[in-house]
Amino acid sequence: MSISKDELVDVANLARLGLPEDSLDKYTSELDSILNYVQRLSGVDTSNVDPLIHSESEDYTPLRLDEQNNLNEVQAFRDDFLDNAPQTEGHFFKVPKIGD
Amino acid sequence: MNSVIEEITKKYEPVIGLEVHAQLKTNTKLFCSCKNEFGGEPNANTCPICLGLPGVLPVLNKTALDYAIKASLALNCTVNPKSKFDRKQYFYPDLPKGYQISQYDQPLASNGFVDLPDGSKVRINRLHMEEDAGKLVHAGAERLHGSAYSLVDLNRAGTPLTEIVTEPDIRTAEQARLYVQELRLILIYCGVCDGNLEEGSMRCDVNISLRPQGTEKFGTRAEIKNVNSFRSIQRAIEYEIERQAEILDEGGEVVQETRLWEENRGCTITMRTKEEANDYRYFPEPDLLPINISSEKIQNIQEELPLLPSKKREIYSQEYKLNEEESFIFVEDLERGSYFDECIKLSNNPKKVAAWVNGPVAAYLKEQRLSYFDTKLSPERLSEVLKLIDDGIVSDSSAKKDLIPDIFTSDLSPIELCDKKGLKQITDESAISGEVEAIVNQFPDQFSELKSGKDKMKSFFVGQAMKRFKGKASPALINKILDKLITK
Ligand SMILES: [Zn+2]
Repeated sequence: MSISKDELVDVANLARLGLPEDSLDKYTSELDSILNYVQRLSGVDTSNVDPLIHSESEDYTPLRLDEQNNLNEVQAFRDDFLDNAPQTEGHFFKVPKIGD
Repeated sequence: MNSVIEEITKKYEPVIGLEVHAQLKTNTKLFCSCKNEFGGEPNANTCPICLGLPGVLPVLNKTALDYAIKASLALNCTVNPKSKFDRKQYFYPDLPKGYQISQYDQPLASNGFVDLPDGSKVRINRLHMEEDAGKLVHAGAERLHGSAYSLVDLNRAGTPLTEIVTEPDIRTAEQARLYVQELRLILIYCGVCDGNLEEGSMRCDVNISLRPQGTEKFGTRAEIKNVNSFRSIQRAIEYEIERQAEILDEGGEVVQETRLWEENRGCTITMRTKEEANDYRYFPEPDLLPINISSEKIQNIQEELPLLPSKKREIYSQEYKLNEEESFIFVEDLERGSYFDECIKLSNNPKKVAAWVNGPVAAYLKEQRLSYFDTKLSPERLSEVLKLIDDGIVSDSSAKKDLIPDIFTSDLSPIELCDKKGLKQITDESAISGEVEAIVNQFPDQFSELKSGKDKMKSFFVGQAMKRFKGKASPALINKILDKLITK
């Protein structure tokens, strides 16, 4: 087994996924088979290979100048996203209360 | 150190490490071109990138990187030629993407140190870059208990931070405060952070544990969050030392946990235990390639570094012979310090310049709420005044008393002001030597005492002469004439 039922519950919890109790066995076994398949990669000897973090051909991250974007565009954009938010109050997004 | 803490530290040694988040004062955010400013209308400074909308890509701000490198070098860190960004994942409404872009196992810089004014040294473990989260406003909490909601302002989301982590080298609450004060000054001197703790430009987490004095092994530590003023750093640490000592004294065990400093109640409370600790599942940020920093770039930034506070203190005390208090003021108060630095270039008497800047100049500017470079009293003009005093043309006390406030406001030169106000002293020896001689003849007994070596009598004659000349003759000049009469 690559993943236990408890680990699945943990991961689901971290991802804020509500899995019904009666689906746990099914998902555990499905995830387990995926992980087992990927596990085959550990069979390759990589002791002399540096970790490959990115597949891009360019080597290093590009930089941008510290210059502000167009203010008019920003204004129009803000009206758009506030209109699209499920709940707002003034210029704030409104969300369920956090914390105690 | 209060007596309770003193008693505890005979038995236990506190082991303290600090994590400080400092906001970099760039124009724009770390990965997008939104304005980086404190305050502002809610969500005014946002865009698809910092709102975490699908299909956008972050691009690193060059100035933020330069600032972080500058801070690293000022903290004597090694800047790593290659580092990378990682995703730190957790869910909270102030974090629109569901992850924070940070640096995990390959930070920008490592292995530095800070020399504190008390002579101690605190090692820096690492310095890395990350983006800040937004802000939650807990609305309705007071108004309507139970049915409150939260409001989200994402202006701060994506603004650039550097996180600076010390080794567990700190042993007292005072030392922790000193460290944060010194770190703040260094970042301000470098021009990378405004150091405004009230506005959250610097935020501090404290790791603290106790171990029996004389032992090596670290005790179980608690992490204290929300410690955001110099005073609360010291208070929170002292509270925590007492709390942990009490547990250990009763034979209990300190629980590894995250605690929250409650400023109003003056105590720390449990926020989450080890079991509830977040599992951030870091992994390399796929939207950003590794950061490459050439040795030329590091060298260029190294050469741009200003004179740092510790070096300044050294110059002030050793070269200029200023006392601790004077040098403290010039190092802390950047404007006053740079005004002093300008004045000192034009003078060879640092003590006198310091006395003037900290005395009448500081007092007048404070009263008028003016800044040092805002009045007519430029460093050049102040040096002219000091020269007049040195040359005996005006006395120090009358300059301090009678040239203010005109010296700050008038278009007349210092010498013209002295003329106009009749402050000029007699500097011509021949003009007064006759009168000094007359005084001497008036008090023959006292003069023979002076002649026979009773130096105290000299001040008597100087006093008499000053009275005669209504303070317009310089004591130095009178002394000179008296000396001539004695040897005659
Ligand atoms: Zn943005």
